[in-house]
Amino acid sequence: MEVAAVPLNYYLILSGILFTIGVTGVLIKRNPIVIFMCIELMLNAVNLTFVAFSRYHQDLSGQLIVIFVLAVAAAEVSVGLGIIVSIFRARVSINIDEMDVLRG
Amino acid sequence: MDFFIQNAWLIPLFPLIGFLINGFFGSKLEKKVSGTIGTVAVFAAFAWAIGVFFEVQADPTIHHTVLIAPWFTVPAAFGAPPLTINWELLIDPLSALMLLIITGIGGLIHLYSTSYMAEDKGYSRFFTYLNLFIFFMLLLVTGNNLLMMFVGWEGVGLCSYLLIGFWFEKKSAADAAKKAFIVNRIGDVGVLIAMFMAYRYFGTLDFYNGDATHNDPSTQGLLVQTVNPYLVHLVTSVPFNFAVVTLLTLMVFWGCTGKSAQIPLYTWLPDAMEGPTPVSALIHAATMVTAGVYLVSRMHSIFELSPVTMNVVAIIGISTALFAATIGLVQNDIKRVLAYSTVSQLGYMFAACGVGAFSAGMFHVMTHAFFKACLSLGSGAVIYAMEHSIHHRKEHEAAHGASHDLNTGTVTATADPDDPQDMRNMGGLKSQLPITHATMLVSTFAIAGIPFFSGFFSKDEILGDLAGRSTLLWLVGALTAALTGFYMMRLMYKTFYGSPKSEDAKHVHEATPSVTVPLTILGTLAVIGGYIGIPEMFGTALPFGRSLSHFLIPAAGSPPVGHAFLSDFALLAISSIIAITFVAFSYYSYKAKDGGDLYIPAAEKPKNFVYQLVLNKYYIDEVYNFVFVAGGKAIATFLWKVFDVGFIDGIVNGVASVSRGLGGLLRATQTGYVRNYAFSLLLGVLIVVIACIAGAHNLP
Repeated sequence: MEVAAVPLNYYLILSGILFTIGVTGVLIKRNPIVIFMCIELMLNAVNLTFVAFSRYHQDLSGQLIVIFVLAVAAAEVSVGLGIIVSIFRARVSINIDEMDVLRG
Repeated sequence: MDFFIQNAWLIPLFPLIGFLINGFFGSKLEKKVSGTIGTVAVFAAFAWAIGVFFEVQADPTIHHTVLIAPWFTVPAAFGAPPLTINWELLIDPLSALMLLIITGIGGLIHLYSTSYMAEDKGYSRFFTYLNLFIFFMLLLVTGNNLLMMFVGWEGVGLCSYLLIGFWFEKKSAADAAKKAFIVNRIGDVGVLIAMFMAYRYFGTLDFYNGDATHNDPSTQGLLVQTVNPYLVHLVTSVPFNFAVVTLLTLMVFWGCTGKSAQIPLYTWLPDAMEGPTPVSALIHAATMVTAGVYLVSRMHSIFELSPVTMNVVAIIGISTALFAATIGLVQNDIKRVLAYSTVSQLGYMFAACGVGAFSAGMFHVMTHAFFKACLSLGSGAVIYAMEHSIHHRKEHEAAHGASHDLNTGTVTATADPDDPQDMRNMGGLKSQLPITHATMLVSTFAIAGIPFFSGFFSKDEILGDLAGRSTLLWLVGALTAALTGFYMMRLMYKTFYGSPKSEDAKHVHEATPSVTVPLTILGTLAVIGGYIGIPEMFGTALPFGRSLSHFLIPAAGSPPVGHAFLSDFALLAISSIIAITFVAFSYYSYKAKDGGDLYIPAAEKPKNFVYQLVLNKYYIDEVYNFVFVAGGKAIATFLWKVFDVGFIDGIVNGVASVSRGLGGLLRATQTGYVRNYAFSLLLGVLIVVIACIAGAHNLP
């Protein structure tokens, strides 16, 4: 049965929109939890692209990579949250604007 | 045949061995042993030198070279030929004579030192230095090239420094040592420059090159002993070569003014009397200071190529002779009088060299070594006796904690009663020190030029040669001779005659035989040493008339032929009369005043301008201090405060400031906020992406 497929471009445009939203969030948000969520958004925008291409090319390796990305993202979040907890313990604040010890 | 000459390297080797033994093991050896080793080493060298001398005398015209070892070779470069420098000895009449003087006088002074230094805690150190000095001095006079000569030249300078500062706990001695070293270095620059010039323009540093393969006149160089007609032509025909030779010889002479204490670098020698008296006798009276005269005589064939240099040498020499003699007239320190008389006599020698009478100069070197060593050692015996007498008095007074410092160097209006060198504390020592008195008296006659003592012949030869060149030179020379007679008799009278001027002077005692034996030998030589060079007018009757001059001709050239305004005999008579008159005048003048002040009473001395001027050595030291020392300090301060702080530090700090400013600008980009880094990351990605797209579409 042939279902009229959603054209590839639609996926890519949606992915681009999601990615841009993620980037904007990373750049302007002050709460590290929200920033993490934005990073997840960017990752998943990319994931969407991979899946779309995988389907389009009839090649499973794209989906394989998505699984990897999800695994890495989970690890990254756990490490990141661990860091945030440490910072909170040290400073009793996780305001991103106060984290400027690398300033020259 | 020339067994001794072929093994002449043994001569410097003996003192070197003595130096090594005393240097490494001296502190463990008994005093007697280390003194014996040092003395025997020099006498062994003397014995060998006698053998060398007789072999040279068999045929003085041969220049023997003894190759010890090759040293180094400078490869040919910039059009200059390759330069080979060897450790090579040159044995000819000149060096044979110097060998005898150095080892002979040196040996006697070593013998004297075994007793003079007996109570010194630096006994073996003293003999170490003395042996090292003898070694370097022998190297100086036997080296066949300028560089080897220079090694000895610097070496004796070093030993002079070590020995003047032998009692380095005493500040005046340490200062005098530094002064001697530095002033000598100033002169040594001249010798260095002369060597560079000799290499650059003549391609050799050798004095004599007997190698047949080097007989090509263009490579044989200028330093050969015999005048090379090719080189004479080269120098006289091209003005540039003449300038080169003049500058080269002037540079050599500049070095000689340092080593041999001539104007303007003579100031170190009187201060050098801070050293132990045997050192004053050995280094600063008899041997080292004559190195300059030796060097000029050694290089006489080049010096003679430049009349300009010869005139400079003659004028500096005779001026120094007169200048130093005037200072000697008023000094009160017995050793300082002798120091200025040494400077003055060295002036005579250079004056002789300057008029071309190199052999006369060397003759005076020899006789001067005899009588000046005798005088210096005699003064040492006097000081030694006075020191002991003062020491005894102090013990007697039981002045606990009274310092026993030898207050020399300072010029005081009245005598320090504790100063064993001040002649104003002496007087009447003749009866207690008969041997010292007798030997010093004959040496005084010799230096004053009283007829038939050794100095008479050498000084007469010099005066005769001076007269042959210029009447003015002769006049100054004769005036200096008169002053010499006067101040030497003054020294003798104040020391030995009249009434004792202090209690200490009444209780002195003659020293041991190891002091009096060298004095007696030297005194004898001071009497008879001149007979190997007596003038021809007497010599025709004797087998050895003028024999020294003839002996030296192959090495030091023929005496000049001049036309004096008077005959030789008249000149001789005049100088005899001058010498006798002034010695007698001095004796009777001081006798009338009992050895006290002659013309100016002590009370008026501080006010008398002329007396103060001469007593303070014309304030030359003060002028040098003001111009060179203070001037040098001013330049150094300028370089420090203005150039270093302002310029050098300015560059360094400027570079630092610029870096810091740039860093400050860049530092603004490092905000520390994650989002700024993320944003720049994004920008970078965008740029790469745009570039890729543009590349893919071949956009510009």
